Amino acid sequence: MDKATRAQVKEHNRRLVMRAIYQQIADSRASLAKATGLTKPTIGTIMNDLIDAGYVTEIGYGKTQRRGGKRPMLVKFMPKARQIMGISIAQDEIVGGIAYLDGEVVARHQISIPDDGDVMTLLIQTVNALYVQHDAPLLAMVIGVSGIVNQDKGIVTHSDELDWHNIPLAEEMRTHFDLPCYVSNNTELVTRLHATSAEAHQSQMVTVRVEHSLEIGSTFGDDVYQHGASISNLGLSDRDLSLSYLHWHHVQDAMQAIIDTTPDGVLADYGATYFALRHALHVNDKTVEPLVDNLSACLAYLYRWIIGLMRPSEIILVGTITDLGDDLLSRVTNYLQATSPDIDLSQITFTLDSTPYLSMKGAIIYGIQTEVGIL
Amino acid sequence: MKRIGIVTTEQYKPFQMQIIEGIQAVTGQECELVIDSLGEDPTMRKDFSLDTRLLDGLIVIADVLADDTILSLHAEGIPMTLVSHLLDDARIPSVIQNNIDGMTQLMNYMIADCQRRNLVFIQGNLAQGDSRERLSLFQAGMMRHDLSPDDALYIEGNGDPVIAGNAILELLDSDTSFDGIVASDYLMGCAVLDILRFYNVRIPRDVSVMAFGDGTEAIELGLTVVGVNLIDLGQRSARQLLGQIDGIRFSGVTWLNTELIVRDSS
Repeated sequence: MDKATRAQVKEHNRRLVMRAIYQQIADSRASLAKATGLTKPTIGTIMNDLIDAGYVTEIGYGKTQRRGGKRPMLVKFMPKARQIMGISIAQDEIVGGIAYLDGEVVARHQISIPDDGDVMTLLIQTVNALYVQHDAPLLAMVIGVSGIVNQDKGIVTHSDELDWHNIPLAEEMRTHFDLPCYVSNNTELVTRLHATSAEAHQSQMVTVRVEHSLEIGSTFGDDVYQHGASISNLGLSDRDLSLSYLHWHHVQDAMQAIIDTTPDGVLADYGATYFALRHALHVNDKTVEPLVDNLSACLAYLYRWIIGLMRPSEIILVGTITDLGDDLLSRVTNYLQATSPDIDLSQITFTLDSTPYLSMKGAIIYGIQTEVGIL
Repeated sequence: MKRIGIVTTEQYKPFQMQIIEGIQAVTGQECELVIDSLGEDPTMRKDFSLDTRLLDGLIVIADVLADDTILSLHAEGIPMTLVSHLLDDARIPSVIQNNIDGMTQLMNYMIADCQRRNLVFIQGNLAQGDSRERLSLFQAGMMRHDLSPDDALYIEGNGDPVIAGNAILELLDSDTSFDGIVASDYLMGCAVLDILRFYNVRIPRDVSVMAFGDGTEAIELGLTVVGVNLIDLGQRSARQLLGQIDGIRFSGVTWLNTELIVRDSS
């Protein structure tokens, strides 16, 4: 066995032990040996390392085992031992957060990207702002972008939103900050976040993210499939539309047109936002119907492709479009039912997640999984 | 030793005291803090009097200085951090409570958990960005729950507990029906809660009262709030400033999490 492999085995065992403690599967050296299948001396060595590094602490003696013998020394995972930085770059803003190893975000930093703004400079400023805020040693940073990312090499291959091509982002940030850096696709990070929830483990899940571009992420077994890219160019032949109709700037333009033609309407009162659009539907303002109908048709078209190709058990919609609420999902499923009677919709769960900053939170989860092997 | 200036309105008010305590916890013995408290005398507000040439950095708490003054101080090149205050272009770093999360928590609790539908919103000083944002988040919260924001009652509190209290007295006199009150800040919420109790309105049975922000007054009156840890707010602002003094460049806003604290008023 060569040295590299030995190191890998050691790291694997360390993660096994850490995960067992974190998930409260075992809480003493003896129960860890039983739960992981590792020998007691190996457990002893790993535990000494983990305690020295501050990841684990001894919290006192437990009860005597039924067979007698010494009372076990109980151990506990210390989530505040380290912090992770997660950052998501969108077309108009950069949002970053620092979190402890339980994923709890303690501070979030946000910088708007002006039209003529240099994204790389603003990204460095975001990291700087978070860097001065850390409360515990930082383990790594994870950066999410929209577009195609070579996650293994940390290269942004292509991002329309940022106009980036072949940017070795991980390397640049590592050089700048002397901190491990990982790069991933924003939507895949959201999928990763969803996949860590308890209910998600039995699910074949697809995340659809609608913002300035349109992307999907999906689970693949226990992992997240890497295929992030904009799919906006798919066309709807019957409506002379493409899925880029869902892009926020198109929707915003359409809302502005309604405001211009109906100055006494709901949108004119509350502005061009999805919440205002929802309210307009709620009060039966007919001027917004065609817009919402087109949005629903576009989404239904996309969902039909996803269902046909991927057979998911759950499709989760994310992005500000979710401010339209469950009414949007009802319209989408009605379209699906009308246009694709062969699809058994009862086998698929359709949900939306309007939690803010999902990509940033996903970046933090990815960092914890990659660096520590838990979650 | 670094010299750090702190500009505030009333340094012995609970809000300011806790922030300054947080700043002190980070700066410790390494820094000398020079506090310029402009509003100690309510009859005559002082002008800003710190000589910035003698300071290494400046922390500005809340809305004590006009935006123009802040921008001209920043133009002099002094490292600055704003606490609980936001400039539109965010060139100067700031640390602030998270309005979006906070108002969303508050509205979800008021409407979904407490089942209140006829809401009154007591507005802050709409000249301030923070107050305008809370107003639009209140409206968004109504829409999220498919309630019409037009049906809500908007009362001008102007960030002043006395004005808010008078406005709620007028509302009580008018026999207008309402079952929930959201105040843009906790001091206005306290004033309103006090008056409602004085007039024997059953709280929370008849009316639930909630507010943004937290302080000793809210604790004493049992007001339900979304609050931010003010000591943490102070600590993070001090870290931001020390980072800038050490030459680390950044702009933008650091947002701190809010927590829903349910008390007797809901």
